[in-house]
Amino acid sequence: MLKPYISLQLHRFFSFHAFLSFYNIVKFHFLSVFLFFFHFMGQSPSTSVPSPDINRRDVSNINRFGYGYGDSSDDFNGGSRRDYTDEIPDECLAGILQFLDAGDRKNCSVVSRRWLRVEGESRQRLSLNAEAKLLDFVPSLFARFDSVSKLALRCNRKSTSVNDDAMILISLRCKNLTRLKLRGCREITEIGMLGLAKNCKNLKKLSIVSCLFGVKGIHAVVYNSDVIEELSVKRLRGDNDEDGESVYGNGCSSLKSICLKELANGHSFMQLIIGSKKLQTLKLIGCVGNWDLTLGTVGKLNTLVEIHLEKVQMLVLLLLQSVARC
Amino acid sequence: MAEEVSSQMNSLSISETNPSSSATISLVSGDDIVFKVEPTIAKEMETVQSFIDETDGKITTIPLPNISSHDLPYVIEYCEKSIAGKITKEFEAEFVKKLNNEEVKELFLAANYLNIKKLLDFLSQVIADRIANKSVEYVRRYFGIENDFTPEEEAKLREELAWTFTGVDPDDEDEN
Repeated sequence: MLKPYISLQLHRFFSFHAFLSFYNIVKFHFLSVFLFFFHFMGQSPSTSVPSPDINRRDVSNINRFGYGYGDSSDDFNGGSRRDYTDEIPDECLAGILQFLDAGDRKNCSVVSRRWLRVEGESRQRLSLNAEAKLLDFVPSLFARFDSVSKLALRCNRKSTSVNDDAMILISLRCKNLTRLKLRGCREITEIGMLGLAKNCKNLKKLSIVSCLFGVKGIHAVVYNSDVIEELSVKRLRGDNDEDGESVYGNGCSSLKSICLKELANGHSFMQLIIGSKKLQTLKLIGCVGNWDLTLGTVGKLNTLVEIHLEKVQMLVLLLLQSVARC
Repeated sequence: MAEEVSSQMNSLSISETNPSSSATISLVSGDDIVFKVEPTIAKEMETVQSFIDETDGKITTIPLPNISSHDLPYVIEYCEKSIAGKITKEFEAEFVKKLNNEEVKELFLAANYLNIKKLLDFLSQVIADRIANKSVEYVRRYFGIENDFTPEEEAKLREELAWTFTGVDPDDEDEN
């Protein structure tokens, strides 16, 4: 099922390859000249000369530019049969697409081969159904969406989610990922998360909801990243987590924002919170445990600008102390 | 060769002694109508300006064979507003109201050809608005695009696309 589609992708790649290299060479000239001298193009194999130097002009062409246009009336408004988008470069097409939402972009990608390519290349944000069978589509999807930097994988509770293989494959395909959101990806373990951390060195924001890889999975990412800035964890369980399992940074924690919601094992993050010297925002919502010590320490950070607490046990005095320092 | 009349925008700028700085520029539409505009207008049109610069301002008549006398006044109007710093939401709303689909597309091509970035951005938004929430077939018809997928490819593509979510990701809404 997968194999024929890979070959299709390759075919697509090669067929566009020629066009792309041609286009890359002429794009400097494209705007002002390609349309203008459309009717000269047949006689002008010199498009392969990459000459962005405007001082190297052939004088005779100035004359053409200046006076030769009368011949071009045939090209003017080449009739209603034309494809308007033939005359606009990929950047402009991407410029239109950027104003469309994901649903319209999806539609537009089916318009034609060129639109498919341009839409894929210009897509940065992608949200995928993370059911187990997604694995079969990962190669072709990420061959198309090769510029994705913000990815969400969501699986509903009734389905089996993607596993570590898919997580690692995706992380290999999307090395430029800056944001990842995992929701209900119950089959992913700390092994998949470690793969993510190793492959996606630019990951700045990680958001986890209803996953089962536990503290170990979070630790794998946080400990192996020098750039992660935002961590949001909600309803995380860890079947493999032992008592007292703890997340801690690698000593130079870059985290600026930590948000923990509805965690039974919230105390596992205390060490991470205390170790995050650049922390600006801390949100604790519905996390059981005693947070006095953590908040007492965090309250001394001068970087901190926001503490948000809901349904958290602590001493009122300490809260006041912490808040007073913000 | 023709291509070497390059579109290296902004690589040259008019010096104060440039003789063209005070002369009126004549823009000749594809159907041979001459529009006289101030040099400041030409400056908004990077393609035109770079041509003027390349010829040291000696040539002030610029043929624009791809732009009709029907569309050129719209472009000029937009550039005039732009120079006056009067591109407001209200102006743009009024401006776009006057345009039918054909005109929007023609102006988009003109803006691209003349390399007027503000107009191009604005028209990108206009076109996006006009193809939003429409079928694939509508988008093809809108631009005159031929479907070059085989039915098998298209089916495969749609199967693949079924894995992408289109809605806004519900941030914290509970579904799990």
